[in-house]
Amino acid sequence: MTDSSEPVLLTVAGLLVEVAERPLLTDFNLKVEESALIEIKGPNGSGKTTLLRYLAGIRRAHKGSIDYRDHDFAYVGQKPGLNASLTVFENLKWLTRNADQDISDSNLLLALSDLGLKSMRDTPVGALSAGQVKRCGLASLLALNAKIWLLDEPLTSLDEAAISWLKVAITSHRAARGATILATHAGLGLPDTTTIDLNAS
Amino acid sequence: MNAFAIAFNRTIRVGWRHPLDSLTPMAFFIIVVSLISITVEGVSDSENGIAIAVLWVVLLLSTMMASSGAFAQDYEDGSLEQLVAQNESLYVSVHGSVTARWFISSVPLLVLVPLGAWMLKLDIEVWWILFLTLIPGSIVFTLFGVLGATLTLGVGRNGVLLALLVLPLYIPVLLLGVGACQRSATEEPFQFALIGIYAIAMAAITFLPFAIAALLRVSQEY
Amino acid sequence: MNWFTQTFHKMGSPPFFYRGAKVWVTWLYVIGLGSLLIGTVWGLGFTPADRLQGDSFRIIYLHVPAAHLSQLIYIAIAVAGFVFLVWRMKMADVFIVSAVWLGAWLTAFALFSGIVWGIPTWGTGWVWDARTTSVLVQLFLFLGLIALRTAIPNSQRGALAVAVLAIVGVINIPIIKYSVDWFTTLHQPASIQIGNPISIDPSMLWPLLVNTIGLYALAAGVILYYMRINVLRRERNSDWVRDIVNSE
Repeated sequence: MTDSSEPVLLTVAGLLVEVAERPLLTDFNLKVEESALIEIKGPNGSGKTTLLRYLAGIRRAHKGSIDYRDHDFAYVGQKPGLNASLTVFENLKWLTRNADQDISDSNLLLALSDLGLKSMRDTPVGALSAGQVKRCGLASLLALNAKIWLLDEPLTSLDEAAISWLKVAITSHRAARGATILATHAGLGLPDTTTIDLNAS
Repeated sequence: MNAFAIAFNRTIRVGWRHPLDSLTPMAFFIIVVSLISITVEGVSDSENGIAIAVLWVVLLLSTMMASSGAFAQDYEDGSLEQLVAQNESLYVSVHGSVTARWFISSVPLLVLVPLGAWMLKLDIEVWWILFLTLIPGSIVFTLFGVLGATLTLGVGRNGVLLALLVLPLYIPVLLLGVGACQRSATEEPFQFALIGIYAIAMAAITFLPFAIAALLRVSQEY
Repeated sequence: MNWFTQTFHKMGSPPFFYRGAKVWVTWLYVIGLGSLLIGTVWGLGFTPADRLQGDSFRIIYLHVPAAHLSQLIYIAIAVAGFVFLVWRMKMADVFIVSAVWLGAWLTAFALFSGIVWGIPTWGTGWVWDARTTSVLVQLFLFLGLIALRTAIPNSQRGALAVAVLAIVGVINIPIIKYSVDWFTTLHQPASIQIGNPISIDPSMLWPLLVNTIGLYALAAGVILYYMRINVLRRERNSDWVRDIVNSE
């Protein structure tokens, strides 16, 4: 077993990133330490989402390696993975169980009330607004006990209040020695941010 | 909770909120059986052979219809992405999901089989063998239907394509099932077919979820 | 074993394949067309008529090779599908894409020629027995592969889907044959034995052999020809294709 006092949470070495069988990045390297905040930037089609999907294990690396210290991450994609006919609470429950975590109901409700969704707990996701759906997806971040957050364009369709909530959430996640990697074209403007510009490399 | 129960639970819940997904194939089943009873002269007068074949074929088509939507919603809303990203035991999850789908789509149809048998004036002595073969048969139909649905994930208007892919694969079970029932009706030996149909069902239950899980992965990978 | 793995790896390399296959295509076309011409003229013109079937038996000179070859192509596609699934070898998918149409046409031709032969011989064009039914199902499977490959625009995903379907299908064909055989014994006693060539005269057999070799060679040539085209199309962004295009 790896030593958990080691500060590196995730090591990516020599990763080949392909889109539609064309290589976008031939030799991508990354070390993610505790409390890191990494923003992946670049224009549309530069492979931000694809890179994140490699990190989340949705795409398998054919060349290079992706090593998690504890294999412990939460991924929120552009489509948050919420079934329209299930309620907010049921969806959250499934997302956490699917990640092999048994979170108590009260903790799930805590996450929901943080995002102002508590009164919506028994509403089907199909009846929510786009911003509420986005927030519901982010609520799973709070519910899950993951060391690394992988967020794909988290700011899309979020209002001011939700964006400032996300900033607070990421800051406190970092304070708890968790790392965040996000694909975004806007940027959050938080201190100590590492930026990876895909267009430059 | 293990991966099987989680997937089973979720699929049943979603199915429960969409009763039309079960009711439409049921209506289809009854309508087609009625059309055949009305138009094909002698279905109900002849020996049980034709009626048995009609029931099997109509059940086959209804099951295919019912399983064609498998994983489509998960594909659209990103749940499949989560499933592939987080789940270490996709094979077990697929089992849970397919089992749930069998309960949602095939069990209601099996409940209708006595009604269909009655409409076609099938002798009551044949019913037991009909169920003995239709249960494993419907499991195989569901599995192949879900396989076809995963093959065509993300392909718009996949209904006709699905039929083309899946129907040829249904033939062995159909023939063994119909043959067993017909032979039982004429009091000929049918054990071979019974063993065959259960053997195919066991093989399908074991191996097809591997293929389905692999295809689900692939659908997210490219 | 070493030379085998080496050739295997080389075959997987598109530029090597493209250059290496060029000579083969020409030779296979020459051998294929030549043998087919000889075999067909010999079979149609210079063999005695069958005692029972008369002249209509002569259709076997095309029917039998086509039927066998179509089956072989289906199996080869499934094997290629397996290779693609395990090693993600691009050439395996190129083979599948190039062979699937030919397989479908040969199957359709086998069915059609069978019907033409059946009408004078059996008095009916079609009998639902194990062999005819499994050839018909094979045609459906080919059409399914083609439709699936066309429906999924993403080539990598489409290739994987087709590979899975081909493997599931190839496992099914013997089961289908077996179940139809079992099923039909109930309905019709086997009064007609289809094309049972046990007591075929050698003078009738030779042209069949020549035609079989011819059709196999021609099919291999056609598949290689299309594989070369498909390789070029796929690798159009790579340097070696640019070099070839610029030099020609």
